[in-house]
Amino acid sequence: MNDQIYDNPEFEARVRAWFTSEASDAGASQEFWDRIQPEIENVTPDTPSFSARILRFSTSGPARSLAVAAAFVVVLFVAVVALSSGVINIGGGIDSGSDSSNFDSPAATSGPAATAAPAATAAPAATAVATSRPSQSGSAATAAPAATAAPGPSGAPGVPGASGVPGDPGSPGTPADTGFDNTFFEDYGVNPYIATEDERFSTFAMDVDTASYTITRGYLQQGQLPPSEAVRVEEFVNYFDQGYAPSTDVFSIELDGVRSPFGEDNKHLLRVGIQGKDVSFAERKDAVITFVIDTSGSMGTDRRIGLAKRGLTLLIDNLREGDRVGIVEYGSEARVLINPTDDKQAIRELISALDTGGSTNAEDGLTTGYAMATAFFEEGKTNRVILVSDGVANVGQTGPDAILTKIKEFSNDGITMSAVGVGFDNFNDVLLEKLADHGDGNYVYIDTDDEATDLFGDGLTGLLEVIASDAKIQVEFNPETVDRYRLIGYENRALTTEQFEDDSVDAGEVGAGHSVTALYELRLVDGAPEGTVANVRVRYADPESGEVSELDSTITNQALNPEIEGGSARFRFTAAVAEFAELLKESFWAQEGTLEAVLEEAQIAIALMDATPRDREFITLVENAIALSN
Amino acid sequence: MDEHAAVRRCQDGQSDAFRLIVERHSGVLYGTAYLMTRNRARAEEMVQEALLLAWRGIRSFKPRKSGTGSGLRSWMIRILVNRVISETRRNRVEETAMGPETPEPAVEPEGEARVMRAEERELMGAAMSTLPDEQRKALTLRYYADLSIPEIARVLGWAEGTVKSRIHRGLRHLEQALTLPETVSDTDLQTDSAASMRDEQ
Repeated sequence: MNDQIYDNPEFEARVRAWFTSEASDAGASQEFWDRIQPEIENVTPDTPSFSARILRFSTSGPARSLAVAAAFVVVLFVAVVALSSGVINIGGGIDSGSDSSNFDSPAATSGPAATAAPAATAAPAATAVATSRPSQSGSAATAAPAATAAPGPSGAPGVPGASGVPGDPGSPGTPADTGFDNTFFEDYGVNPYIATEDERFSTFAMDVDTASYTITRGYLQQGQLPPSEAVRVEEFVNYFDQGYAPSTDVFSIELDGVRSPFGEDNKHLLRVGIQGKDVSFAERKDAVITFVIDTSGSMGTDRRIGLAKRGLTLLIDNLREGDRVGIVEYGSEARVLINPTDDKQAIRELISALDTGGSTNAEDGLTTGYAMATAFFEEGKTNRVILVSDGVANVGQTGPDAILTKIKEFSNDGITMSAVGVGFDNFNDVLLEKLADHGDGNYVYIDTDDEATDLFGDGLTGLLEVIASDAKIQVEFNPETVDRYRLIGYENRALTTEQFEDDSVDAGEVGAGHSVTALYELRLVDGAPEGTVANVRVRYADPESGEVSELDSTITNQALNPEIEGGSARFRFTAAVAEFAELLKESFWAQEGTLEAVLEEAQIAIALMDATPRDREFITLVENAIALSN
Repeated sequence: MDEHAAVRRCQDGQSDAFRLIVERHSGVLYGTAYLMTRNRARAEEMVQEALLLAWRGIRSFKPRKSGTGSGLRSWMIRILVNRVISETRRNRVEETAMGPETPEPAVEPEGEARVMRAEERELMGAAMSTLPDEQRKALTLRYYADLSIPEIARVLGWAEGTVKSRIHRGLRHLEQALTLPETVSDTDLQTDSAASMRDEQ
């Protein structure tokens, strides 16, 4: 080979010889073909890219029944990732976990996400049970892989309870279902620059998710760069409080712009800030909450169940008088622990007694959870299922398509769902995001006690109380002042221009007090006269009445600050956050950028603003990333 | 049947074509798995899983158009290494609870393995064990699995420059350790790796 790395070929040869000798200790290569043949013959290779298909927004979703009093059922899917080996093998196993779509993208190999994928073929379910829980000792976020149990013979044909044959013709799932389960992260690509002449409208669904940032933090704290497809830039940006003025209406729009501190000289950044109305504890609607908690074996890993319990306990502490909480747990099968009640003490005791073991029948868990939510549905309240899980390798007999459709239907009937991800390795990002998306809820990820406190303590109202449904943003650029533009992030939230006014299109749900920020990179027309740069419109439906409203706001080129120093320090910080995400995402547009420049900008910004612990932690993460990428 | 043809047939769902691929590549997969795990049973398991994954994922494999070979080997090694790495991470957690795994007893090397004298093997092995994990991984893929730098970069998800510098540093440590075994202490190694981080930056 022509890679000349070392100047002593003779020594290289010695090393080579050593490896050969050592490898021979392994003995003769095994008769692998004989062993895998029976299984291979029963399985057809997966069709790649199917997951990309089902992950797109459906453009022809059923029209919402607007009249439904939209009580939100928070399906708190505490999906503790069931991906651990063994845990996956539930319910007739549609999928033994090999995810072919991972192999498509080179990036997929770079991080634990991809590597985690295939736990599937391992161990019969039983081995995953009853292992000691390292949760107390494990450090936050480092999340070890799910399975504490040793993997058994990999999916050996004929092992009962082992995942059986992937793509088993007997399973009712459609072919497209196969392979979904273990797609951990999906690469949605990066938005291109668009010439304003060609298309002046940029349209996308609001997204208040923040999971991508916390997941990335987990990777970095564990000493690894995240796989690039785990990075969704908008979730990084939205993780940080932008400090927009409180809104008295459902939404208010804040627009500002500066010359970009990154990349070429003549680029500007436009910040589109949407602040949602805050709702106080006193104003919040009562809620009927159905917790669906994954207590399968993998939840026993690191601090997963601990975080879930802590989150639940916090939630109980923050309930209103009229709230009801019910709990469904699932491992190999779902079990109703308690029907919705306001008996906090009873709930607390059940929570503290939660234990892990068994495989992951998420489908059963969700079905039972929704059945409970339906049975205890209360008009005028927020009815929500909250799923807490580390992701779901096997969702039961049906396949993800069927489940997602069901969830969508429930949502139309007023029962919504939130997904709370815990765990780190073997974490199924794609599925959780999709579940929350179809359930018209949100998707968050908790990796530390602080995060759990934020979410279920102060953040509980925002989690439960939805102020707007199907919220969309459309930005119209003026070709006389803007030559071209690029939306940073929101790749998997893109809508067509026409969809903005089509109220049957599913878009984003926004909780009380949440804000959404979108950054655009602009190339302005040189010497353009004074004029409008962009007109920003927001369209959303009232979650209860279904009534659709719109608001808009405009920014001119006179309002753009010529230099970053002219902008707010918070904007500057946000620009650094977005650039950081783009670098980790290996965005084409950030290829000239460096992490060092991000660090410098972020440090300056922090010095100039009233920085929070979250802000300061960002600096540490950038430093970690710098150390790791060298 | 050449490899391109075999791949096409596999992508077509013909499982018998996979046999050729398995027979051609399972040796290097097994060896690599063993070198990374030092445990025969686990290595076998990893290879078996990797092969099943490769079969499942064969349609997403895009054969290389130019150069030698289809790139299949490195693609399969990538699947394997990913498997091993996630497995290892899992085990690390177990080890803290259960203590380290018992090392596999060495078998008497046979045939070509004898090209290396036992003493040299031992010395090299001792030096190897002082290397940081990442360097050892890179060396294994380079000198055992015979992957190119770009291939290693893809398998491990590192930049090519990182692969090169880790291999280079690894070799340099080994060479120094074998030349002057008594002068290379842990402290030197640490100082050096701190220096190397600076260099790389």
